[in-house]
Amino acid sequence: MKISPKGLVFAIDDDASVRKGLARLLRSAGYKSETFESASDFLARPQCSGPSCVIVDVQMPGINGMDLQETLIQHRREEQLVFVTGHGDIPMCAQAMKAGAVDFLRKPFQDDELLQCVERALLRSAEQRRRGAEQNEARRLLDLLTPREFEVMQLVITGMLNKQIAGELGTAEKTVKVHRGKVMAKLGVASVAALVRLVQRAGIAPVGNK
Amino acid sequence: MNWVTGIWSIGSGACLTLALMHFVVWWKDRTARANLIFAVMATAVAVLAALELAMMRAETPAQFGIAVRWLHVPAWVIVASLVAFVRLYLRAGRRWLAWTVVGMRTVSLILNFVFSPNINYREITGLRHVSFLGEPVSVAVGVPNPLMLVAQLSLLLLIIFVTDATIAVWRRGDRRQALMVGGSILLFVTAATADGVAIGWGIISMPVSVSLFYQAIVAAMACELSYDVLHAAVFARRLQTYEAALRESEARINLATNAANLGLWIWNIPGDELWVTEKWRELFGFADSEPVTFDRLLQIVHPGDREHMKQVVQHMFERGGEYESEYRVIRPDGSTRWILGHGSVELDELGKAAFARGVSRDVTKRKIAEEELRESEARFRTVADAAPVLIWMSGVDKLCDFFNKPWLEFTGRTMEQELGNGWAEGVHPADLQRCLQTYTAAFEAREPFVMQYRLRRHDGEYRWIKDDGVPRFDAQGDFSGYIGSCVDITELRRNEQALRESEERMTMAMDAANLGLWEWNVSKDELWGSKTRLARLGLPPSGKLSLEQGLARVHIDDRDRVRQTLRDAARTGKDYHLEYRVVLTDGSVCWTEHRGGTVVGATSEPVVLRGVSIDITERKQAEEKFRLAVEASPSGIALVDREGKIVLVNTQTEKMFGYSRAEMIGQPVEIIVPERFRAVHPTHRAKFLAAPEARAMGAGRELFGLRKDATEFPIEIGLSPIETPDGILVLSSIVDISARKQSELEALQHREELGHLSRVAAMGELTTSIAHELNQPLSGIISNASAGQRFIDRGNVDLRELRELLADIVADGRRAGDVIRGIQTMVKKGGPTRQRVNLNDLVTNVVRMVKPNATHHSCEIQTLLDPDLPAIEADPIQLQQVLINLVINAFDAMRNTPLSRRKLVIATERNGDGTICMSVRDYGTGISEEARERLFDHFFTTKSEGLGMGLGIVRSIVESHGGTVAAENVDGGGARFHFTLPASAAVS
Repeated sequence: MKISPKGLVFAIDDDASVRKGLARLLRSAGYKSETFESASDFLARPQCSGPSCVIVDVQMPGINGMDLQETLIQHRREEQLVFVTGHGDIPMCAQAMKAGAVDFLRKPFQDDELLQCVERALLRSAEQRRRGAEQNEARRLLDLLTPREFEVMQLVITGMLNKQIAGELGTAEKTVKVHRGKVMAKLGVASVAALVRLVQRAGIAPVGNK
Repeated sequence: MNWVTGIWSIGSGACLTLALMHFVVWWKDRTARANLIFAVMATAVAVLAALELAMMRAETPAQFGIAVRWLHVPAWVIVASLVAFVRLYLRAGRRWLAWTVVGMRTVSLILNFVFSPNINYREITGLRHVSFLGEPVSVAVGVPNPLMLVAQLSLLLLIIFVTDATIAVWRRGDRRQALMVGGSILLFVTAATADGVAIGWGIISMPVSVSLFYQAIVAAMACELSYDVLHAAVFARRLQTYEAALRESEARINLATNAANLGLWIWNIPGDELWVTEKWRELFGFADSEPVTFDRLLQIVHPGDREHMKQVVQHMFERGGEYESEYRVIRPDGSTRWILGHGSVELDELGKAAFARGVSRDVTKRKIAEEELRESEARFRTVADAAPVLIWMSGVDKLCDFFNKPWLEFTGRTMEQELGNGWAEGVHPADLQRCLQTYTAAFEAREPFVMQYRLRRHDGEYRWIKDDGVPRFDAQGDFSGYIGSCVDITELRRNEQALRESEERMTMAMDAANLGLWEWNVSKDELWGSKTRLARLGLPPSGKLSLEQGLARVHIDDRDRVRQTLRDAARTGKDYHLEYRVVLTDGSVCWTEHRGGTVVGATSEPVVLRGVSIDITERKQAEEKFRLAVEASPSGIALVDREGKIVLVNTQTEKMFGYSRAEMIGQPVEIIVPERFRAVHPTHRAKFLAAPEARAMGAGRELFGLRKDATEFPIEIGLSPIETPDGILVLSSIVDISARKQSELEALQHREELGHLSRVAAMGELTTSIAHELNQPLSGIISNASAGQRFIDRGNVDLRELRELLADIVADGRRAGDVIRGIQTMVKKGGPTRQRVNLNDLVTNVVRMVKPNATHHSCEIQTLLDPDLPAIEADPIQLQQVLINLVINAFDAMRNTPLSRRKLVIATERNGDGTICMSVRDYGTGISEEARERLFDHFFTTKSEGLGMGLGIVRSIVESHGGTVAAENVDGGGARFHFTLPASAAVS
């Protein structure tokens, strides 16, 4: 027996038969699921804490699947989406995938196909969460920096020398050094490489090289 | 000598002598009464003188009184005789006065003797002696008697009487007599009376001497009477001479009168002796010796003239003078003769008729002639006055001398006014000149004349008179003037005028209508025609025409027929009716219709045929055109009469039904009606005839025609009533619509195919929806089934859950099946089926069907459904098709609309007028101007890859349901398509 990854599965479809079927299928696969008739109902539900995935029909009256995706992205939610659709539309599919959907399934879908997607989605969701958490942490640390320190930090990770940094910022090298030291201390990193990783984890785009 | 005695004696003696003399005269001639009276009076005067003497010599009053008394006796005689003398001799004095005088004198005489001593004196007291002429005479002294007045009054009356008589005589012309006799009597009586009164009343003392005065009267009278005595002697001598001459004259007269056939007569009136000539006796039928008296004469006078005769004679007696009379006598032989008597009467000295003499002439012939003339004139008058004409006569002097009563009544004038040239005053001034000229000219030539002029009627109106005058000639053949008769021709003139005008009008009308009048006198073979007609045919307008001459203008092919018809009509006396051609002068041929009848003569043989001909060339041409038109018509033409018999058909009808013309004409029209409709067809015909008007037959019904070979074919019939003189005919225009029906059928089939294709296409459009619809239940089934498998694999099978699961699978399966069935129904071929449809349900169905599409298009669908929408009879599939088409179009229209604005509103509404309306409103691009016109046309599309069938089909379906479809742009963007359907059962 396969052990299903942990997580909650949400199913959004305006059609009752589909919902019911999905719910049963998921349950039969050992997943916990919740079904919603519409995307708005889903959004009304408070966000869940654990990894989750959303199986959503692209074509729905009101907020359709694509809209939901956009909304979730905007809200930086970690739910992973699995799109299902009554009729296939390649542009739509491509768009959905590009926007970060886990997969795009056509109805009527194969049961194992769906479950695999769900699995993948949950894993990704968990991964996402982890990464998210890391990011948060990194960011929190970064927030400890002062603006000046931040600037310095930004230039440090580009591999610039202190001198270069000083010149860039228009301060003394010494100052730069001081800042650098603070940065390293606050962030709890020992090396530039570690700093770089931290910053990467934080998801801050590096400043472009000159 | 005693002068008194002497004078008185002498006077008395003289009177006596005169009295005696005249007495003798009277004795000799008893007719000399005047002489007698004179004698009496003279005697009385003598006595009076004697008594006066006695009075004067009276010694005693008693003597005096006696004398006075006795004086009154001669006084009375004197008065009476004076009166008588005046009356007799003078032949004057009023009689009543005379009698009064005498009467009064008589009274006084009586009184005189009654009273004593006398009437003069009451009492004589004494005598006085006065000297008179040298002698003493006695004069009475006494008391006068008032009664004396009576006597004196009588004298006064006498004076008056005599005065009156004298005046009468004077007036009469006998002046000498008046003066002599009347005057003297008057003078002396007055004197005597005055004297007597004076003495009587004692005014003067004088002896009574009235006798002197009376003696004077006597003397005067004697003178007067003596003339006669003198004259008598002269007369006697003359008489002898005269008698001789008379005899001579008589002889001559006799001769003359005998020669002239005159009868003479002399009538001694007092003696009633008629002396007559022989001729006279002959005339009057008296015998030679028969005595002739007036009475005798009267007897032979005609009773009718007797009275007149008597009157004439009476008149003659009174007046004297000449007279003339005509009378008839009846002769002894019984014959009646007219006598003209001319005579004269002589009056004697007393004024009485003494002699009459006359001439009688037999004027019988003349009388008869006169009578005849009178009768003749009277007859003429009667005739003239009774004639209805006005008659006038004129003499040789051209002047008119007679106008009959009618003339006078007409002009209202009198004969006197009209005579001579007075009649000319009544002639109208404008005509007078001409009148007189005509009259004068004819008169000169002694020729009859006729003239017309206006004569003024009694009411002032001028009337037209026709005056016919002819000369008159007497028995000898001499011209004696003119006689003319006149008639009031005013009315005649007016009638003539009216008749002329009427004729003109009729001619004009006839010409305008191209009518001609004809008359053929059969026995005389004389043909008469109206002028215009004759001219048109080139026949001579005047002169005699024979029938053959007239027939020469008739077209050669019709001549015999026309001739025969006319002859038959002449023979049988029946009316005739012809149509024939005539050849005009220019060679053109015209059709003529001729109707006429016969006028039967006295012997009940038709004498004259009279007819009217009218040019019917146009009509014939029209008929010909009609016939050609009927023949040429591409549709079948059939004319059917009232009884439903076929009267006329054209070639097309023949071909259509496979009958020949001859087989159809006369047959009932039902032969071309299929059997199953035959029974009711007459009813339809009757209904049409009841309200004939041009219309299509059998509206709403399928009509079929039956061919000769018993096959049927669909037809369309148009009916037109035609009024003909023979009754109403129905013109049927028959069109074989098999081909049309066929193409209609094909068109229907095409439409259905098209509809089908469209549905298929619509379904194609809805693939997304269909797929979606199917996928939903299928997903459900697969999910459920997989779940079920896993449950079983896991080993924790919850049977209850399994059951639910399976139930859901079944449900989903059914659902999928429904979808497929829906599609199948939509795409199946087939004709429309009508059933009660609730549009709202239909909308809901469609909305559900298209929802996936809508979602795909990110389009919101809103429905506004009227809850009170009635169900309609419709084909649900077709309506679904309509709605789906509209919805799909709406989706397409909103392709470029921002997602948030994409909305579709489907609404149903119940209209007040019993229709329902459904609309589909989108927020798309709207309808462009170019597209608007052709929006609902088949094969019009704005889509690059569209077939353009959608809206065309929509319109066809909606219209086949009896509805209308329309579209317009809406404020706020987008278009609104809507269609209206009648709520009641739709017409196909």
